[in-house]
Amino acid sequence: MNKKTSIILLIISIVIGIVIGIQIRTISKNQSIKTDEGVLRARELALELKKATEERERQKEEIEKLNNAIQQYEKEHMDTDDTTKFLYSELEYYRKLACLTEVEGKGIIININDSIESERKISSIVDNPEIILRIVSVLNSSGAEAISINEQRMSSYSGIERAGNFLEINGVSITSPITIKAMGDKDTMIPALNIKTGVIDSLRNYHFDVVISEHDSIVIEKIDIINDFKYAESIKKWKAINL
Amino acid sequence: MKSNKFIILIVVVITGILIGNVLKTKIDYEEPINIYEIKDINSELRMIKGQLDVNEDIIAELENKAYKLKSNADREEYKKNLEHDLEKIKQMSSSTDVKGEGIIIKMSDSNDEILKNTNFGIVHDIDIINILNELRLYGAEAISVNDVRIVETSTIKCGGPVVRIDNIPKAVPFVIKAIGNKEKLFAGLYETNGYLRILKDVYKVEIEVEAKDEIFIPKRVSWC
Repeated sequence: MNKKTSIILLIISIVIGIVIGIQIRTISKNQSIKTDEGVLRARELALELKKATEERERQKEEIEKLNNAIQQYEKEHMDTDDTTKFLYSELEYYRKLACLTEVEGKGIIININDSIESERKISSIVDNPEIILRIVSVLNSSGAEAISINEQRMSSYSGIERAGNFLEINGVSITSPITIKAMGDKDTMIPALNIKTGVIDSLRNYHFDVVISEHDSIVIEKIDIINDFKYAESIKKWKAINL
Repeated sequence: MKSNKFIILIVVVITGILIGNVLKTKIDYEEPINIYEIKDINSELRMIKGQLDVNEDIIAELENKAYKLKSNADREEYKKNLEHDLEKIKQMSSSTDVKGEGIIIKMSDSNDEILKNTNFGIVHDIDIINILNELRLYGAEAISVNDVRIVETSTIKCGGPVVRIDNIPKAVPFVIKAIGNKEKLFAGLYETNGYLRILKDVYKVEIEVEAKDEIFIPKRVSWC
């Protein structure tokens, strides 16, 4: 071997050494990131979240299936005689009044997003449940027939409660972004919302990102649970006493 | 000389492969996860878990109902069940007059001379809306304002000197009746830092709250 070749070999060996060194270092660094406790916890959470979401989907399907089965049974029974038929039609009417049926029709959708500019979660819509109550009130005054907030139908028994980082409606926690669906006449509802110094104005003043869209067909979810009344009792014959 | 060249060739090839490998190794470097993101995931998880519990209840109830429907092939039995359901849903839709224990809230504007020309001591529509919301949260089973039954589409709107409840003008005093657990309602709305407290102590609205054993509330006025 002459001198020239051995120099070349030396250089090449050094390069190989460096390359192997880099390789080993990146791999071990990568692994140390992966075993970091915070990351592990986050990953665990993400996995749990995925599982929970899948479980929710499965439950939704099951509810849908059961509802269909019940309707099928009811129809079978209904076909048999007239009194049952009458009872059934009555039941359908009151179900609708009690928000127990899904409704579809013309309406509007209001999307409220927390401001992008403001620092994380400093002022969230969650901190202002009263403003949502006001929106619902305005919608009702302008003739809305059905309202839902993040898929939770507003029934006679639905209140909005602040619970930590969430709002609770019908026992279900919701959080920003808020989507309010309202069925009714858009030409009344939208101007009523947009009136100067009205609710939407004040939301925008607080830098919330509000978008109102009109739709020819929206579906508003139903209430799934039939109330159990523990204190209130129906009176068959109303007597004008102690009003 | 030939074998020397051959060695160099092999070494160069290996170097090339190694360098290629380094370049190829994807450093799937993960975004640094901050405390906010973990918090977000955590709270979303809690939210979904809450929904899971609610859904569990719904499924149990539906299964029970489906089972009953399936088992009572007997037509009379079915009719009876249907009637029972109808009663329940009628009440749920506020279509029946109801009675039961509960609380009565009387609100009127303040007569205090000092507050005469201020916005204090006046009952606004938003006050009533907030109180109704709190009543619902504390489990009110029926609510009326000045004997107008409050349902999900009820409108409570300021109309100058009066407040319109479902378009029926009503003036002070406002009498809100709610049927439910009277102790819970009373404590929840009046004894803690509820909205009524603020109205009374800060805004000086005249408020009287009474827990009663029997309250009557009429059925809804608006139908669809």
